[in-house]
Amino acid sequence: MIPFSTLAAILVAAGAQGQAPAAAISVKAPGGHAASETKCSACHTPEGWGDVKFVHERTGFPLTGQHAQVACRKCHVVDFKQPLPRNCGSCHRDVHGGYAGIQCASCHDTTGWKSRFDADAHRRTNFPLQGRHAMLPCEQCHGDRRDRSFARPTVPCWECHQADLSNATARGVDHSGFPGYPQLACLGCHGFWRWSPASLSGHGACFPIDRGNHAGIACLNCHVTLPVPLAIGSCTSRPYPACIRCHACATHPSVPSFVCADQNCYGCHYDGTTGGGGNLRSKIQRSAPTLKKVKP
Amino acid sequence: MTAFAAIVLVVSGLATGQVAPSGPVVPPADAPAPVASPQAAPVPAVARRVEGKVTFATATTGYLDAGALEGVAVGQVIRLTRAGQPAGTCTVRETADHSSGCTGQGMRGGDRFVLDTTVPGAPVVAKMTPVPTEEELADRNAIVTGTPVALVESKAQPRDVVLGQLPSIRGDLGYAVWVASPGGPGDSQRLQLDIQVNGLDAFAGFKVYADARLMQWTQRDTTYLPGSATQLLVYDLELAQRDPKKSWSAAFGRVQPWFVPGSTVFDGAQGGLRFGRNEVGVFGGLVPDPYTTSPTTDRYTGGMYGNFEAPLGSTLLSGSARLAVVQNPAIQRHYEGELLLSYWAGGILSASGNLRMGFGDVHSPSFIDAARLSVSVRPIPIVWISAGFSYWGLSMANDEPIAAYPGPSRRADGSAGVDATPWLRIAALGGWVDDLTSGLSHSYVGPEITFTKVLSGLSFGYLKDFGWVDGQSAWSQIAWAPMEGTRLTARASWFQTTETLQGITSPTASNDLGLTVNGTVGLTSWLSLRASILVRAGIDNFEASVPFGTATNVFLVGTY
Repeated sequence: MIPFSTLAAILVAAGAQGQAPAAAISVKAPGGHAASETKCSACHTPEGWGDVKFVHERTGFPLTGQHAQVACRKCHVVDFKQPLPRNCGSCHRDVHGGYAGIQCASCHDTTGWKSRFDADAHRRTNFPLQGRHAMLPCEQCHGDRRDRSFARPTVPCWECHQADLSNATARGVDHSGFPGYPQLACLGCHGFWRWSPASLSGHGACFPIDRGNHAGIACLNCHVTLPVPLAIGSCTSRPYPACIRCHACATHPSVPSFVCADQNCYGCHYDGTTGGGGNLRSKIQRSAPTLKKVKP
Repeated sequence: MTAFAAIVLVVSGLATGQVAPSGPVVPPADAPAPVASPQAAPVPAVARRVEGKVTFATATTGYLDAGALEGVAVGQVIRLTRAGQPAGTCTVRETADHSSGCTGQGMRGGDRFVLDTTVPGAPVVAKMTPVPTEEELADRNAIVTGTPVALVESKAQPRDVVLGQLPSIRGDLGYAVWVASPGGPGDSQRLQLDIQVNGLDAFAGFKVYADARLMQWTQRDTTYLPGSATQLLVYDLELAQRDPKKSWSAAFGRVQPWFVPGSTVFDGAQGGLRFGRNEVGVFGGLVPDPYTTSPTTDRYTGGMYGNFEAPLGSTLLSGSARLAVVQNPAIQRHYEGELLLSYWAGGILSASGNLRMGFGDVHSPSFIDAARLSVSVRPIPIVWISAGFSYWGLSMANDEPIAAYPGPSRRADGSAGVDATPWLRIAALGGWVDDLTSGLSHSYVGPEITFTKVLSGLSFGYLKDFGWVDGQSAWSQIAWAPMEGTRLTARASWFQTTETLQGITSPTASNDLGLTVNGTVGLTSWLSLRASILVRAGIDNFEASVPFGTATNVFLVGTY
């Protein structure tokens, strides 16, 4: 066995041959280090200066994702003893113009700036993405592309569906009598998956459109205009649904003094059947659902 | 051995103060003799007479009570005696330390044998050289310390990813599709190219920064996605010098400013003077259109800003401020002041908040345009608590069908968790959002548990919703990062909306199932594949058609 001191002497002697004198190499404190910092092995290994093994978790700021690829001096410009700010904005520019706040981690992580916010995470906003809303490009609702603010906390349907509301109004359908108008009136009939066909809850108690001959029929096939105000559950409809738009009723010999008019059809054919049962609507004992109106 | 001898000779030379010159090595006359290794010393064998017996015998094999350490060797012929008379022979076939087996005929247990053999002798103790005297050690030390030492410049081996060299250019090219049954105007498709340039050297210390998106809509509903089918959105395009070691900073072009809290992007310039990590300066320019990012002349901003960092012992207080005038058709001329402060205390406490005040023809109540506060506390390493509150008070008129500006709102959220074990994390989260324009609010609260050791994390969560859209949701998510640059996440979810319109059962009452899979796979050191798919289906009415939809995108990501 060769004593270590002897081996060191051998290596030193060998190194002295063919090497430049010590004075030829300048020694200086590398960037980010104080001149008194000489405990190189606390961070560096004999494998090379670049492979730093410092356990950054001890600082309370674990270097994960892309942060693990950043050179020490990118953050520790002066030295390693000066504390650094932890908020993202101290190193990264705020591309959202201040709209999105300072909690970047709500949408971003250290693997990259591509947002991991998706339709599922939207549940934590004031507008959970149900049904078809989950299958829309972000830009369809969030108009600010310059600042990518994604800030649009206005909830009412008509903020986005102005064109649909205008279209319905132009066709004579006045929605203003619906509970919740104008903020959420749409939700009384329109679902998150489909805008059409709509279905009014409680309509079946007055006239079945979820079964029988009129199942799935569109509103405007019967209603030239929607009654205003709409009294849900009262089974009163003014004007009457336009039955004779589709049905011919030239003769009703069994009905004395019959006049072919919408209100007369509905009086007997309240259940949507062909025969109508011969029962007048006034004889029908039914309990209409009790519905609350939403606060405007 | 030749090399070893040479080393020893060199050592001998050093020990006597004679450094061997280049060329043939000649040992000095008074060099001590090399010390022989104990393994190399010959060990003489010792003659031994072994007496033993057969402990057990079969028809052809006898087992002896003497083995290799007694001198029995394979192949030896053992002469057996019984009651003093010859009883045949057997040949040793295998040996253990103190037993052996031999083959032969007519053996019986108890047969005896005497074997004259040899065993290895006791090792010879090597004679060590005498301990060097103090004077000799001093001479050797003088030689070592007197030898000039040359510093060795370390040359790290090249690596695939050089530390500190994040990609300067990144391009994402891909296609995105949004479809839902039964089809219709809501379906959209687009080809998309994102380009980011992050500090590409230009001249005189200036670097190029750019961030842009080119989109080609191949299918869309122009009601909700107005404008040209081909759209170029430029978020950033600037030449900037922001070297923290220099005493000044400057940027011009389409600038995304630094240290200017609450400022949007503008076509102009920013310049500042640096004092260590502190900076003050001015900025200004024309503000692009919020929908198209096209240059405009009816929007502008300008003002001054400052940034500071103040170490307080082991803690740090930092902040930035902005004073600006903003011209915008939505709010006319607006004078704004904003302050952003952050405080960090050794990983135990982190707090940050900002306040924006605005004055002008259009202003918010109490002139507070925005205010935010967030606090994170980690009292012990395994427990964390965080909470935040934000308020937006400024109401801005939108001049397009699709809203670009937020409306007045309040929001609060929080989470708390504990790493119960090294593999189990238990957390709770909740939040509340209130739209001050419509009065509609939504809140949620629920638990989440994560098994951190299952791949890269397996979590289960549940949220109960309250407010204008009541309901509940639950999910399970698993993440897997098998190697650097590759990460996959899958999540299965259930969403239930139980009641809307505050009492009226409507068609929106529904149950949806969802599956989300997304991930990034590294193909080469500079190319990766990024993809995401979201599938949702309504499960309430199987008799009728089941509504479903997907949002899918696939991108190739190149970096340089």
